Amino acid sequence: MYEKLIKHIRMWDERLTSAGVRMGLAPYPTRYELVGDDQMVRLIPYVMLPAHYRHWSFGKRYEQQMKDGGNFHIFEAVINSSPSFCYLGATNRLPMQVLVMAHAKWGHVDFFANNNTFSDSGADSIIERLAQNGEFVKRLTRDPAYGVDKVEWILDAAHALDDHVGWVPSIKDRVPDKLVRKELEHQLVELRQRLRQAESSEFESKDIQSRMDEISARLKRDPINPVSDVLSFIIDERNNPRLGDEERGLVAITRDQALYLHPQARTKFMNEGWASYWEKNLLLQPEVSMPPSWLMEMPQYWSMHDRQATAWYFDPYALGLSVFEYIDRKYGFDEGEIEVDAPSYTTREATEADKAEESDFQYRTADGKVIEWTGETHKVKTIKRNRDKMFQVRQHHEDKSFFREFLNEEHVQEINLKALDWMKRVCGIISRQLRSSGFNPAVSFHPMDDKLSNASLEVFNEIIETWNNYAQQSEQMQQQGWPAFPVPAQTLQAMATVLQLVAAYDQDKAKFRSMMILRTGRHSIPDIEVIDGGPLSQDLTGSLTLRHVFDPTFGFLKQSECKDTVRYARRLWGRPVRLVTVEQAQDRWGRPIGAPRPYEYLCDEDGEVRERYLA
Amino acid sequence: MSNDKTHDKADVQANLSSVTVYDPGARPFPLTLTARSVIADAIVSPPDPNGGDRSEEDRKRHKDRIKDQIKPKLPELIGGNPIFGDKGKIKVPVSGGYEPRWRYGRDPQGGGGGGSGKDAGSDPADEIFVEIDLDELLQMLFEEMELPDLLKKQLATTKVKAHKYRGIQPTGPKPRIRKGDTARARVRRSIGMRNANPDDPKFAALIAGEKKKIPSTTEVPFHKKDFRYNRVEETLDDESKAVIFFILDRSGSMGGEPLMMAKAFFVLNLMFLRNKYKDVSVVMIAHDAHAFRIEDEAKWFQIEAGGGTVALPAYQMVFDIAQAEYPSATWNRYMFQATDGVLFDGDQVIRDWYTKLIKTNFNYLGYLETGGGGWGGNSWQAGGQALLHLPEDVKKHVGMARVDNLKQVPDAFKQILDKDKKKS
Repeated sequence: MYEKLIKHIRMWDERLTSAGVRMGLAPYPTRYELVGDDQMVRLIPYVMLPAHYRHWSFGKRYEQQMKDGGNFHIFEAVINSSPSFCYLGATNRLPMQVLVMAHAKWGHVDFFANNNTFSDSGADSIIERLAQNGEFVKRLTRDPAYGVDKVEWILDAAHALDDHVGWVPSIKDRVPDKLVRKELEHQLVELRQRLRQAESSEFESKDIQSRMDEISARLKRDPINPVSDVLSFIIDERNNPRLGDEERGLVAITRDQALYLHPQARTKFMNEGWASYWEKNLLLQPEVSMPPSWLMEMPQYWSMHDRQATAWYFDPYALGLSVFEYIDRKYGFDEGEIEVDAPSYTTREATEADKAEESDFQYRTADGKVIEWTGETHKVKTIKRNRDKMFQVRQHHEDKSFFREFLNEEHVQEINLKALDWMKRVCGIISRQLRSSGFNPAVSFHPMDDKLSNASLEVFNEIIETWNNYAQQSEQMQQQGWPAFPVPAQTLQAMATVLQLVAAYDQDKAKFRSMMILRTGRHSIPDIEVIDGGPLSQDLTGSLTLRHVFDPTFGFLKQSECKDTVRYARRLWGRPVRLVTVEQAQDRWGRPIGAPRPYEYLCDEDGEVRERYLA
Repeated sequence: MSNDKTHDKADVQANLSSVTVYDPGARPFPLTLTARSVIADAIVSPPDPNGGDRSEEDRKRHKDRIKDQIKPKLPELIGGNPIFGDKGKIKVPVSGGYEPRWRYGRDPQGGGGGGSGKDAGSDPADEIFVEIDLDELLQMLFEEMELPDLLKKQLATTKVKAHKYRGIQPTGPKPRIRKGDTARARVRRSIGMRNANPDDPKFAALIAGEKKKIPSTTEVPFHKKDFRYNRVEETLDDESKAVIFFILDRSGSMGGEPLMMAKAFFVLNLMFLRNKYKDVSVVMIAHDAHAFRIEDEAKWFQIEAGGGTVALPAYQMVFDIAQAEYPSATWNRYMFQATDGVLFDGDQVIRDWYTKLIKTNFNYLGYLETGGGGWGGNSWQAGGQALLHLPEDVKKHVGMARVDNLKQVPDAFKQILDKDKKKS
């Protein structure tokens, strides 16, 4: 029963391809799979990956998403692989399918294929790797000598650490440890010589001595340069010969899949923005030739993500699209007219049979005539637009640099103005509502009123507050028959948020922008690196020493979970594990006492975690 | 895997002749662009109706792991969520499996040092609802109550009251074979074979008609189609109907655990009797200083404590309802009362009522005293004391037990019913 749908999808895919290739998009070959709603929902815990190893944590994630309203409708799911798989919801209507195809294949897959962050993600082999990993885990689970408990024992620990696989971009031309070590030893020898020679000046010998101590302290540790890929450090046999082969395999699987997913986290805003841009622009190209009846419902889908003004600041789709459109406005230009092939069609009057069979597979013009595609094309003149800059951005940037460069003051100001304009319009709508519901006219503020014509933020703030108070009052008084306040609390909340954002920006532009940048990528993951534990380390206990690079913007680690994660690390390392971080004492109301000081968690041989201040 | 690698730009050009392929410039990574093609030949697969539920196994495994969290919540569940009201799945709020990470945040206040993993700061996002169905819940309830195996079996399996032979079937076990029918079937078949093969010497005797000679089993062996067996129908006792009156003391003194124990006791009773009798009605009466009849099982299990304690109206109500709606001619009548014993009726009143109920043909009365509410001691409270002094002929139809915690409930249940078993 899906033949008709499939036939039409193929027709539209051909058209999208001719338009997309002309625009310069180059995605991986994509395979579309129609899936039922329930199957789609089940894909989510697995990040849409078609094969995955079994683990209870995915069951938990499924239950969580079900609890949060398991009835949301997923429109598209696509993965970074070559060939790529794009899952289309079988219950979606045809216009939505075409939109999803443009968004997923010509947006996301094209982005995966061309953005540098993804170049090492191994898109060619990911499906096989996933299948292999799944088989490995399955084999171990079924092996009577091993079993599911042991597998979970290791996988639980590996999952707890899988954020720390070296996402901090490593300095590629950093000198490798071996050379640094040699250099330092060399320096030590030199200094020792000088010490023997410089007996005269005590000051100088003290200075030399302290430098020698410093260098020896550095040499005591292995690795000398901190390693941020904790899992790979643990997997490496030279560092950790205690891990059995199967365990090593399991941890390596976790690391591999974490690394695969990492570029997607780093480019979320760009990716969604890119896809949102093309789902609109591609469908408007003449090669695609959307029937007019669709053109009327498309804008509804195109604006799905900015129903609230706050979306322009926070939602990846809206914000990403806004930035890409800004780039297009600023750097794109029209190059002149060209001729392209657009599909031809004839129209005829709708017959009774047509009217009876109203379905999406019938294409209609705006005035109800039926469209028949002839299968041929005719030349159509269209304007060629130069989007080179956008394509360059697509290739070379990730979210952080994208925002740093293009979410600049000019653009943020544009967004602010758009938001304030939205505010004014909403105020107008609300005022009309209030007047017609019979509320006190003093509370309905119309933008055309004198008070609002030069509205500043303070004025808006006042208005919102007044309305908030009224809303609360009528909620309380509703039992006594007062009318309900016609504005939902959410809208008032959104408006207040917008005002806050605009005010924050006006106060401190740089800080605002850096806050926006901080919300991208995996900033909210603590930066933990290995500073000791390798084979050349002079720590006789063989402990692994980890350091949390303290970032005052984000603060301290959550202690309860930190303890258990350190225990997991000890499980994989086999010897004691130490985590050095920064902590601050709190009194019993949660207020900080004193200054932040270095703090240590030590999980030793017996599995007990001891914590103490180091200074 | 992907044989698209053999295509390159030229092919694309050939396929889409009026199109220029945009080349954004030399790329340092040979992985991607050079050997790819963009073919307008989409593969679209229809939905797979047999696409199994991939998450099923993981969910089940997760449920197993957090089962230990569900068990302590059972008393609350019985208290709050009805067991029988919701015949489908029951949602249990639990914390999902613990997945610690290194993350930013502060623990909720428990001092500056932070608590141990699972208690301090359980993430509200971790709260999920796990669905379990009736059987699993009862299974866990029984495990929690540590029911002895025999009792578990009695509650789990349906007791078959009668085996009736109804008809014949072609297969079955040897003890049920019908010899006569089987033999006759063989003979009929051999006659048929004779008619089909008149020249065959085997059947000469038959044809000749002298003294009906039946071919022996070596000549015409039994065929599986010959066999006839008795067909057995298992029926439950059709005749028996039972009505149970539950009296629940919901006075203020019953708050918390005693109430849960009472409800658990009733659950067990209900299940036991449902297995014993085909048709079981339940009349639920709760009382504090007045008696209320509760129609809805769901509401029954959601009762909370509060109020004074006078049992007399409840007894009166039981009696009235029994007389009116459940005549002893057709109904087996039972009454079970759960209370913490602190009844303000006066001993004699209680005794009188029990006597009256027995005399009006109640099969059995059960009395459960739930301790643990801080009343302490191993001795009976007022209610129990009263019943200890019942006249002998009445006493043998009354079972009494005390419980202090949930684990003792099954024993109490057994103790009370033992007497009943001895009698019946």
